[in-house]
Amino acid sequence: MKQFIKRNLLLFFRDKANVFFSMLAVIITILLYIIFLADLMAGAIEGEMTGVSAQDIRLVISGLILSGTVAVATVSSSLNAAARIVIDREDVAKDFFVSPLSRGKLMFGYVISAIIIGLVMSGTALVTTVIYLSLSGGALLAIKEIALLLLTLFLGVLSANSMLFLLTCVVKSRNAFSSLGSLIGTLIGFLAGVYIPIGQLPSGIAWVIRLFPTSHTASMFRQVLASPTLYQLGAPDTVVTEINHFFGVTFRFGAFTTNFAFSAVLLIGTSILFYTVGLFLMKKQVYR
Amino acid sequence: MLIEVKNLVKSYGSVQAVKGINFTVEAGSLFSFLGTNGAGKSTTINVLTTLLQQTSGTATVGGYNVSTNPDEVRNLIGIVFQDSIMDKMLTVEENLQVRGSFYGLTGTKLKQAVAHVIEATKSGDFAKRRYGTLSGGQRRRADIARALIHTPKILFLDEPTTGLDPKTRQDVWELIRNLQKEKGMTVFLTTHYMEEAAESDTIVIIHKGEIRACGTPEQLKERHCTDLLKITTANGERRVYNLAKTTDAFAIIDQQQEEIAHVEIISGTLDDVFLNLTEGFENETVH
Repeated sequence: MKQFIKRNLLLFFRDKANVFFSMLAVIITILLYIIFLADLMAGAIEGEMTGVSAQDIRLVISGLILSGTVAVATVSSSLNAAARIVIDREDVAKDFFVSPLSRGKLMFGYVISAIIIGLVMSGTALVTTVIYLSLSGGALLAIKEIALLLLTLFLGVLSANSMLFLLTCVVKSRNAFSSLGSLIGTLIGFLAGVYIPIGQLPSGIAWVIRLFPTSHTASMFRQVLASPTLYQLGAPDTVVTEINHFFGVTFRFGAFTTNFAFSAVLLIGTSILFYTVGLFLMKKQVYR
Repeated sequence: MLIEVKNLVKSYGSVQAVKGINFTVEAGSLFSFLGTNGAGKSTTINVLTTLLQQTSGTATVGGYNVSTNPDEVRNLIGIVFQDSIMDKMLTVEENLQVRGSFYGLTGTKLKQAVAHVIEATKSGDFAKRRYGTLSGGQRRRADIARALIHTPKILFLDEPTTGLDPKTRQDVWELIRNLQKEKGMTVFLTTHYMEEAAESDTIVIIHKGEIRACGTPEQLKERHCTDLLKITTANGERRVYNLAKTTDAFAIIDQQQEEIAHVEIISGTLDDVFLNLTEGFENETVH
């Protein structure tokens, strides 16, 4: 198992171009935001926050949006890592299946290595974000906040991995998976309420976002990276609540408002669900 | 018997790829499985190597049923696939370590096993190079090393020399023969090259999912092809005779002794056997 995980990691990280472009994709989303989106978004709430400096508003917005891009990174980086299962299935998998290593162990090895890759890649995005926020005047993070960020990163990657694992059990060909990958890469930013805030979208789509696991990864990041700054601005509670709902810091299900713990449990629950369904589908496949 | 196949049937939908075949492979022998593309060779090998579940019938390897005890079978068999399927971005050594770990080898045992198969296949020169950068012959050696990593009793080789140049083919073939003779390994081979099959202990020819013939190369030649006698007379006429037995030639030569300028006996080859059995091909028969 150790050898197999090592293999998957070597195969990923030795493909330098692939690693480079995966990193670049993450960094570019962050840069795009900083260069173009930040001012636009800040303008949207400036009117409601009187007596607050533009720099503070921008800091809050940066925390909100960059949290979303890190959440997106958990999925896009896991996408590359999960592709290994599909590539192997077309290529070398039969060489694995003629050995007595059980299919379950093999899948476990794939999942663990994909999670490690996801953690490294989206971890880079998280570190970049945290550094950027500190440099633009944000408070330094306390130990507790760092712990919460790491927990969120882990759950986010786990959740992304479970969804993609399920996909790899359904999608058989490499080409199909790669096309699907581009599709997911494009959609994920919208599905997680990152590119357009949930508050600006029609209620049907807002529901999809609320139920989509990655939105909760984003929400958890926002609660750590943006909420403290938001409270410090001293805006009335009603305005804070409204901003929370508008930008997806928290989600409303009727009268219930989500919090960090709820989102964490939702990520764990859906991950278990997706892994279980995936394993079930996998058992029915041709190779024994 | 190391391998026993009884009434093996494999259907894909309504198409029967293998139609109830029977054969056995003796321990320590070199066994050749011949057939045209689509004859059912790969299907049979995939069933024997636990990659495919048969529709009906039984197959046992080393006494273990391939459908009920696949893991025991997997420990007994090593396979060299037709296409090279190790990781191109990893070195030969790394590849062998990963594959060895699948058989429960760890730590020093794994290292020893890797070193041992590298030596046995003379792969030392390129063991530290990435698999993707190797030549065809080097890859094949590495593939064979991989198949041997857990010291299997039976080695399956699916067209191991296809696509290799003649010299490399000879080297690879020599390696396979040494493994069989020196280590007493059972070799299950499919090949397109009849001269390779000619050296095997038993040949089975499969066609359209059915077994057409089974025996030693000599038996097959005797039963399924004829020798040709070619006579050129003094006045340049050419006569060709199909011989039921090679010794029949004497009588014909005796009879025509006066006219003969040149005599040639062409013995039947495995190619003829193969073509006769798979295509109903007729020799250029005259008399």
